[in-house]
Amino acid sequence: MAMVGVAAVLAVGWPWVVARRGLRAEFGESNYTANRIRMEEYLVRPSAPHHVLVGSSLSGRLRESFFAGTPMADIASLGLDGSVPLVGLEVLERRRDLPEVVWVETYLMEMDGGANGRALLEGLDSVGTRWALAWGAVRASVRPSSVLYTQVKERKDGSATRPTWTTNAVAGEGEPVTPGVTDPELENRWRRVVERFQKRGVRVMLVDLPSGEVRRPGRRTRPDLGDRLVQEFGLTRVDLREDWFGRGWVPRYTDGRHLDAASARETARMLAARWK
Amino acid sequence: MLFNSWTFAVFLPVVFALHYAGRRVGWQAGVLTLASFVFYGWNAPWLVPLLVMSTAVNASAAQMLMRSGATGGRRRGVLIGALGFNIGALLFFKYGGLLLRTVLPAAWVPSWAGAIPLPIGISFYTFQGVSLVMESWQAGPSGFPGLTPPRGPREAVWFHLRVWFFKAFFPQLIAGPIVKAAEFFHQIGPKRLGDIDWGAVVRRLTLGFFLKMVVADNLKEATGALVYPQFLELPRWNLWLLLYGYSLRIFADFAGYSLIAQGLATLFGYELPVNFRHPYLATSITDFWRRWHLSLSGWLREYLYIPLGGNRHGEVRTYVNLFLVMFLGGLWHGASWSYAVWGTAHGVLLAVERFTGVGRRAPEELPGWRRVVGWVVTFHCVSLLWLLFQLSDLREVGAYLRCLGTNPGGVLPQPLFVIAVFGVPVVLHHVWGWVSERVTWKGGRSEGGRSATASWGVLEWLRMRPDWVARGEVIVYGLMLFLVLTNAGTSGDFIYFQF
Repeated sequence: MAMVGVAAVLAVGWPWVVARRGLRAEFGESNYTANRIRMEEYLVRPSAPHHVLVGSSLSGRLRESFFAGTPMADIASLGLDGSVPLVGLEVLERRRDLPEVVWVETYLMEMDGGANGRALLEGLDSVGTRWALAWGAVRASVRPSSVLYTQVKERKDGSATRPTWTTNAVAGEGEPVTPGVTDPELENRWRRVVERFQKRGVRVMLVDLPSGEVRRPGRRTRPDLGDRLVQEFGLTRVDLREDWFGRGWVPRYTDGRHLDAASARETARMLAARWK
Repeated sequence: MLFNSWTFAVFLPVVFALHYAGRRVGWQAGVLTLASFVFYGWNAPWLVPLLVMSTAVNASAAQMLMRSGATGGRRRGVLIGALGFNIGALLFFKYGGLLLRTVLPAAWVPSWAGAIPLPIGISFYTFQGVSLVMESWQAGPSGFPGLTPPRGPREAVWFHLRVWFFKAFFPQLIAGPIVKAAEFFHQIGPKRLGDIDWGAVVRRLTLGFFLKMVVADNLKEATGALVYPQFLELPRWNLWLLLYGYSLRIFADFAGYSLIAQGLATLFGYELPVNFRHPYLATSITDFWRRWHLSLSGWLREYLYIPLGGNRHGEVRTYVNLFLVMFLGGLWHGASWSYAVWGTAHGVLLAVERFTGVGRRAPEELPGWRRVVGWVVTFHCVSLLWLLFQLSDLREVGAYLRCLGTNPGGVLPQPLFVIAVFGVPVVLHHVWGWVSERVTWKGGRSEGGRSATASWGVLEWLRMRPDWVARGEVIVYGLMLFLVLTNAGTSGDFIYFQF
């Protein structure tokens, strides 16, 4: 009984400490946890935010706090690690209310979620997630290990706040990786999703984010899925790589693909500037 | 059904209530047997008939082997038939495809060879069946404690119910510990709610679920990169880290399962054998096998090594027996030659230790530096050999070993964090094991296998304060329970389910 008492005290006291000290985890130490944090936090919001960014871990680098003080301050990120924008859009539809603007990262548009995406969505229906949505103490954002990881990562990112990019306008590597060919079934799925969102009054925007693999703005030899959706549904497409290269700068990456904190912050500001 | 599933969270209280609702042993054993078949068939009901057949054959064989008046020749025939059935079922379902692929040219391998299903837990319940048959053969008409030959149809029903209960008892059905017949049958009797050792139940279940859900499941994703060709691009130090992470994970996963099984059995009034004794404290491979998967090594020793002659027929024969037992022990883990290589490599290391005399002296008798060197070498040997568990292709193992030495340095921070954070509990568990093996607590409290009175420093301080230790235990177990609730990883199968 004493042991259960200790566990009960911790279960009540720990979330209180986390809330009081502002220690809520924003990062997860694994893809699974990181995604759980984003999805749960989105689903427990009292109302849908004005903007939502959906995509892969590339979008995940653009933290919500980076938009503070910009016209896009009311934003939620559903940049899911190891996942694709379609999965994020499905998460959005789990709520009754939708955001006014959805920013869709184009990087992995031509892929469906695969087994990982299915596992994420099935996880949302699990007893564990339902329990977490109802009881804050078991939410991923108060997981002790994720809280610790967020603290460690924030310190590390904090040390990278100095401008880390270098002036090197010609460092781009050429053609985009998007082949321009999409599985017809997947393309139709995209059409249905965009149609559904537009019918409910949501403005869908496409955004090309800098990634280590595609450093130059697109020089697509033929239209890709994003182009076709732009044409068909009148969407707006924003290429932030153009903004970077327009300034003559090259963003920095932590691992050759994902933006480092300073470049991600700058990218968030560029996106907000485009919205303005 | 998985222990770490919501279905099980409903199943357990229902079975518990039904079990203790009746006071007669027949009711209780009947409830547990029926519940065990539900547990086994929950996700894959088509596997139940094989378990039923295995149980029926072994029960009938045990009865025949105990029948008075049976001639030696007939008994021998029953023994050979029962062993043949058990080993044949294992060979067909587990190794059929592998044997056909090995023996026949690729073009001749029939298409159905790849479609033979692997019934979950078959290695475990087959070994228990063999144990039952062997014990019955050795005991003869006098039987053994808890299982005597039936006299009359009523006793025959009871005899069979007990055997069915032994074979199917759900806490240990799927991944052990492998229970020998003589260890179990004498425990069958009426159980009372008031006799439950709640302290042991709570400690075992909490530690077991903690090791599985918090440690192993969180390490699972961090060590997910230990697959070909993903690891080829990783920095060298990351590869070492993954190796250590996998070692910690496989221990946490399997020891966690065993502890949950023990805790559940205690909940119903039964004791299962201890399966792990802080294996990563081992200072030699010989020592490792006295600490790792004890129920399997005990089974192999009793039903394979000793019947083969053990060490009673000279040095050469001893080495041959050692190799053979370790080869088969390795192959027991799975239908892949990499498991056989794993077992054989352990056999080679055991033989080297036997030849050089390394494993003969108890670790406590070794000087401090020898223990440290022995521990480092043993841990690395064991960890490197786990690669054969994770990478089934020997070429992939070779590539990994090459990358360990040749890839560029550096460490990715995310896996480093996860393995460091979730590795700590396993390290602390072993540190506590090390303390427990050296302390005989004041007042007679004792844990571990080789307790000796502490005579120095912190250990002596601890020895004199058993109450402090007990209070600390409450806090630590409370913390573990809290983390099970709040910090579990992705739920998943237990590694040893595939065996």
